[in-house]
Amino acid sequence: MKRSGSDSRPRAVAVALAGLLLGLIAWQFAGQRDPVLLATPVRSFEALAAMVSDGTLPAALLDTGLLFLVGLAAAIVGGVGYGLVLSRSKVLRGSTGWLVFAFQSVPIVALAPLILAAFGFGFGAKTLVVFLSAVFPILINTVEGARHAPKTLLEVARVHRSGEWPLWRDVLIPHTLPYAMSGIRQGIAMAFVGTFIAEFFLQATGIGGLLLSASARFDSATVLGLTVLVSVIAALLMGLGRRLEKAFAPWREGSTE
Amino acid sequence: MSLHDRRKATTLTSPGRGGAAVAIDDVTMRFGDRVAASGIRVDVAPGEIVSVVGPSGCGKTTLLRAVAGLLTPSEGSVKVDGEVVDGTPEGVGMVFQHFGLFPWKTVEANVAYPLRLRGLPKEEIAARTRELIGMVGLSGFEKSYPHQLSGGMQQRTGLARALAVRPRVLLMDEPFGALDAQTAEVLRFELLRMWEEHPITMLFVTHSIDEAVLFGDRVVVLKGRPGRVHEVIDVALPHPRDRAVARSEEFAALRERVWSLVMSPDAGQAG
Repeated sequence: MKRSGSDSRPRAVAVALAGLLLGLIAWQFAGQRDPVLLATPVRSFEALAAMVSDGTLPAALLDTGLLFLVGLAAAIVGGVGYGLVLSRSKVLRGSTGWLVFAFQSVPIVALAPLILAAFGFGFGAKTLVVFLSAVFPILINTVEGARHAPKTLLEVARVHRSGEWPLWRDVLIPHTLPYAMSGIRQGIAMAFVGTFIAEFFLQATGIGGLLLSASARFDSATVLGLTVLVSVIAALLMGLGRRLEKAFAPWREGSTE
Repeated sequence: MSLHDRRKATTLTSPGRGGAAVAIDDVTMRFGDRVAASGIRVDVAPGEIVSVVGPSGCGKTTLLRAVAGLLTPSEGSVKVDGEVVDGTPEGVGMVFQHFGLFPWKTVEANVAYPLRLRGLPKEEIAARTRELIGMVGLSGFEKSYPHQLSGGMQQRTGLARALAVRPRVLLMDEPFGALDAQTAEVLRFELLRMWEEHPITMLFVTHSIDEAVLFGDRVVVLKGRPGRVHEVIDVALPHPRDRAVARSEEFAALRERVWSLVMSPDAGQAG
């Protein structure tokens, strides 16, 4: 399975690139027919280049990146940490477990006005939006993983009179890590969406802010350029997430479990 | 006879002791309404090997878990060296049917696990781990993960880990039950050879009648639901228990006797 994966990789890349090229050509033609509504790729690229040279794009990227990273980091710490605690405590699971499942289905966009009212629209409030977007997949995957720790291994720990902390170190955390990593991979995607929700609905800063002001000005070249940039970043992040997921379970390599 | 000599043997695995005494005193194991074992009484002398056989569901594994302190008897008591078992006692090692290795730890780390839990100095852990891995014939595989090893090698790792605590009692939960026939055969004789060098108390739960007779100084036959002690057979086979012993007529006769006891219609039910 692994071999065929590495064999087909160059081809997959070539196919993806061909698709991208086709899309760009179609876009260029469409843009030439209606330049107001749909700027051409060339003009979009020029718009991006202009924002790079006047420093607005790097500053916006930094803003957005910081928001994304802080929110995601908080979601990872909170999701994995609380997930592990939840898996060991029946009381907490009974009292807050259902809340977690109920809360995860609430669209964060709907909560944006509430968060705005409660926490204002500073960095903290925006981070909260990113955190809330990303935390649930991480939390839920972690709980599922930790709760299914193999019974035999828990018995092995008991036979060796393991204390609670060594039990976490030797059994629960290593067993849960791959599950948490799949949660984090999903969390990265959600945090990305959350970052833009925060920038659109709380305070127009960063890339989201640039997008908003450009579309208010009907500057379709900038809007489209930024959109493409954002998609590329998203694709790269997803690739990174998958890499991470694999890297964290070397013992799983080749095993079917 | 040799029991006394065995106990005197001062060895690496059991410094100055030939193992602990295990007393299973009138133990009943209940899970809700279901009674898994009832009124079990088995005494294991220091340095003795007692095999426990019986059909599936007779409660033999449950009994072993009670001695390991993983389960608490509903009635009666389990004592190791006179101390009532409450949690796994110091000096009790256990070998699991499905090995119970940590998939994320290498062979080395799995074997070192009990030593790390005890907070021994690093150099001592490294030295003892090396010695144990050599003893079970896994030198060169220190850095392998369990999934890279055959079942036999995984169980060798499991055995090395159980021996790491310098056990005075070794609890064997169908240790060769998940292995193919040849591998199981090889490991049986290796374990017997190791035991001759470092004789310790062993409680050996198994499905295999051959194995029970080969290892046991006595064989306890459990029967019925709930399981009760149906019969205890003395195995007066000579030591060391090697292949020659396994081919002898005495072995075959004992094997037949245990076989017919296990297979006979349930007399245990009436008692």
